[in-house]
Amino acid sequence: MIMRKLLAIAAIFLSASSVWADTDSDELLDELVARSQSIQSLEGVFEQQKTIAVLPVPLSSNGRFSFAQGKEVVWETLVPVHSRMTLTPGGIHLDDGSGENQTPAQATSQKQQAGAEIVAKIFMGVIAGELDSLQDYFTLAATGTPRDWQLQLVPRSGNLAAYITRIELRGGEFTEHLDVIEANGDKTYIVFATNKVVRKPAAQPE
Amino acid sequence: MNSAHPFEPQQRNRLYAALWLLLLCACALFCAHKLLYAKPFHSNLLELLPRDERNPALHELSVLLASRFQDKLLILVRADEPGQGLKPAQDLQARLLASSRLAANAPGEGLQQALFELYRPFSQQLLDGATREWLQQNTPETIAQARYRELFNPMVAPVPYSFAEDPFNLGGRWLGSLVPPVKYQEYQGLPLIEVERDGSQQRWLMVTAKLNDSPFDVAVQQDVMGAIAGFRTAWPQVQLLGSGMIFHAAAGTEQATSEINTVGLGSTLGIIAMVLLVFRRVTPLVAVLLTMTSAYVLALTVSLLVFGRIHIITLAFGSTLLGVAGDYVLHFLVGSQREGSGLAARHHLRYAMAIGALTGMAAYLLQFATPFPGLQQMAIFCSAGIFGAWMTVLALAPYYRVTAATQRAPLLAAERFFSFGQWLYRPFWMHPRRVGCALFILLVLAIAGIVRGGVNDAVINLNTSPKSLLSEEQQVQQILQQASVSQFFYIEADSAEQLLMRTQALDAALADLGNAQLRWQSLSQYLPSAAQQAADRQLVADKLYGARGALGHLCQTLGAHCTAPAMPAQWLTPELFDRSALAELLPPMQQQGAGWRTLVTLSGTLPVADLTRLASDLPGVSLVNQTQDLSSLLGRYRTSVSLLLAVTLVLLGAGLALRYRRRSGRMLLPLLLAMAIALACAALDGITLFHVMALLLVIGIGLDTAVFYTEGGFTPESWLASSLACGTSILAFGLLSLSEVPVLHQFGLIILTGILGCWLLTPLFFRPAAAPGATP
Repeated sequence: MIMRKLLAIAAIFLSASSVWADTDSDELLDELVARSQSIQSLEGVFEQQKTIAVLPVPLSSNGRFSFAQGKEVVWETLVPVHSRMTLTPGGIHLDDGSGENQTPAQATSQKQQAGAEIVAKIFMGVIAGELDSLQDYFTLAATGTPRDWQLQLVPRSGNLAAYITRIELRGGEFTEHLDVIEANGDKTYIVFATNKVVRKPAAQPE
Repeated sequence: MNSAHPFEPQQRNRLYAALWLLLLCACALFCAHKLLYAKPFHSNLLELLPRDERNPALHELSVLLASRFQDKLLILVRADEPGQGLKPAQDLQARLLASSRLAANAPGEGLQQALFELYRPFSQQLLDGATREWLQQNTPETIAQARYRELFNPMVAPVPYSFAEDPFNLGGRWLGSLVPPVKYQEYQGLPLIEVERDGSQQRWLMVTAKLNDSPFDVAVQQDVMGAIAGFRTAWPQVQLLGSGMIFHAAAGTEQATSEINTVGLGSTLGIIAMVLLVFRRVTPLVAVLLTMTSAYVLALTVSLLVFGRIHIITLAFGSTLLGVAGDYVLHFLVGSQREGSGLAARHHLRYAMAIGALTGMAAYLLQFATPFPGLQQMAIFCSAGIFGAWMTVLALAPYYRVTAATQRAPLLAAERFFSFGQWLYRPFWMHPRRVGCALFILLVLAIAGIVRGGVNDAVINLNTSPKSLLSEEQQVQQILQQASVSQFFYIEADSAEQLLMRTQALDAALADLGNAQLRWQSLSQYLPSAAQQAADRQLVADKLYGARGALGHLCQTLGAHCTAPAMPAQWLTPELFDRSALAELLPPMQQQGAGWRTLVTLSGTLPVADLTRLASDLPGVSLVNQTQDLSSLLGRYRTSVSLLLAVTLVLLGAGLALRYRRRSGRMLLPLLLAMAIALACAALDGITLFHVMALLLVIGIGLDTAVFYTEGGFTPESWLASSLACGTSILAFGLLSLSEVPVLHQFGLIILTGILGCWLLTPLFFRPAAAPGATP
């Protein structure tokens, strides 16, 4: 659940680039969103570290990701387990490599399936550059410059805050870091490396 | 007049008058105090409905279920483009919350946190069906492997508790299984509901508020309705759907106020006009107004003392009391003109008035015997009022003086009116046979109408809210998929544990139906029985934390040394559960003596045949359809009140036959005819219980007319007095028949047509001896 949202958020900012003067938070946000909309498609790799309170060492994993504006987002973990998640406007598909297509938790109920649909819908909205979709759930605060920015997301509702304490994004041209602080004490740090970008012809930055 | 002896009764009269006036003043003060401070008026429909005498516990539970929404209001704002709908919705919320009588109420806000805390100690013994099956069907190794993958997987269920507490995230799975089935998103702090309706995708933003005072408090109603009116002016194109007791209460207040005004003001003005026209003096007018006021004050006092609170429908109906109370004083005034003094008139009329008042009170009090609290209030209100009018006339009669100069005017009026009456009825008196035939045909037509119209026991007859409001409420219920308050399962057991187990069995049976259109909510979905918790704890202990459990495998893979979480020492009990914020969102559970009861609420499209079969298969489970139950209750009472009516008529016939011998037929015939015609008019929409009850009142008022003519024949005085008495009632109930409240309309219509019939038909049977022709 949480990760799906994070992916959504990350995807917009992965494409951050260019040279802009210092602006205040709202203007910076607008610019970051506008920039994300100029991306046609994008590919890269990620490293994830998850700190779980009682475990002595963090759980490390890595994999690759890709996104095509308006079509789909793929998040594929390669090491130490293999799983592949595909988000499309139609919904979410998960292949966790165990032979089954879904984890038992997802298979349990229609109810969660309905929730997943909503997330997918929001996600695609985010890619289209609709900042409102994000702001439905979080209050956004941006600091820094378009070359070196930080974005903090705090849940609006107590119900979401019961799971997520805070989300932080950092980046320059693209999003480089994604940190998630969960309410149960778990922390997830993701580092991105973007290596292939296709921009929309019309929206080429000057 | 100078000796001490004759003064004695006069002193006694003075004492009575003084005492009565003193009592009335005390009553007036009491009422004023109550009205100012206790705010005793309410428009709560639930309190008007009869208690189901067969199952009081069920009644209590269903009232509890319905009353939870009493202090909340909910408005859906159409927002197919949420971005465009947001501003109006926020504006509406701001307008509502600007009132100090309303507070913010975010449904479910903070609920997640409350759920975390409630279930935290028991996370290792609460399993949803799918997780239980997963644990049962897989080996510890497979489970450990799946969990390991999950730790890297971005698609995991929410993780409410830490790894140390709940390494397999059973809590996340449990909480995930509780998610309500409505697509409930958030849109910038407001809940957003997406729903497929009438073939299109609709979006609604939900605005809610909590009332700090009762929804029946007029000030709260004004604030809410004012805020909404302001909103509608500012955003005329935005579609709103409201739900909440406050809207019904406000509509009820508005309607009752306008109806009390129409009936009260209309009949007061009408009576004043009649009195002035006939008597052409102020003193009789003062007498009439004083009597009506004292009737109303006493009625209000007694009702407040007996019930504490008064339904506004009672007040609206009570306004007709003005017309009825007027009768006594009008009889008295006409009598005073004839006798020459109030004292003499009182003496002369004492029996007639006593019989009239007592039968009138009895007719109303018969309704006290019904199980409808609303009718009971009306019965007490009106009979107290009649008593008040009667007593006022008795106490103040000696002080009504008739001077020789003023004696002529009413007599003149009576003479003229008499000539009119004679002119009107002469053609009929001359052709008794034809009139008889015509009346017979009329009777046959009326009976045919009654038979054709049939009966109507629909529950909507009890409703007091406008139809538009009910349809809004229904749409909200549909959009939010709220549970039906009229159809649900009722479960009984001897202990809390047995109750939960029976509910659990019902849950399983409902799930087996596999009907996607049917949704239900039961306590056991959120609170498994202790037996279930014990079994699940055993399963968890074996599969996950045993010597060769999944935790060992998982931690080996993780390269960590971990210990199993501590198992709770106790069960999640109904007592613990009841204290949580969740309890009041779920079907209630009640203990009464040794018996435990709960409900399972239903929503969506109900496969009634399947549900009925389930209920008959499972012990302690029954399917309740309150609408149907109430309708059959109305039907049963309609039958028994009809019987009561028949018995009353037979007894009345016997009594009249004893007193008036052969003349009794002439007295009963017009009454029966009038009743048949009234019933035929009412039968257009089907005859209801309330029509039949109103007929009882027609007997009371209509018989007076017949008695008048029987005692004196068709004379100037009897014609004037009966016309005045019927006129006031016709006016009051005629106005009442215009009411939009079904019960009031039905009462008004029957009494209007019944008394109109009695007034116009009775003289046909009392041809003056001097006139040519014979009685039909």
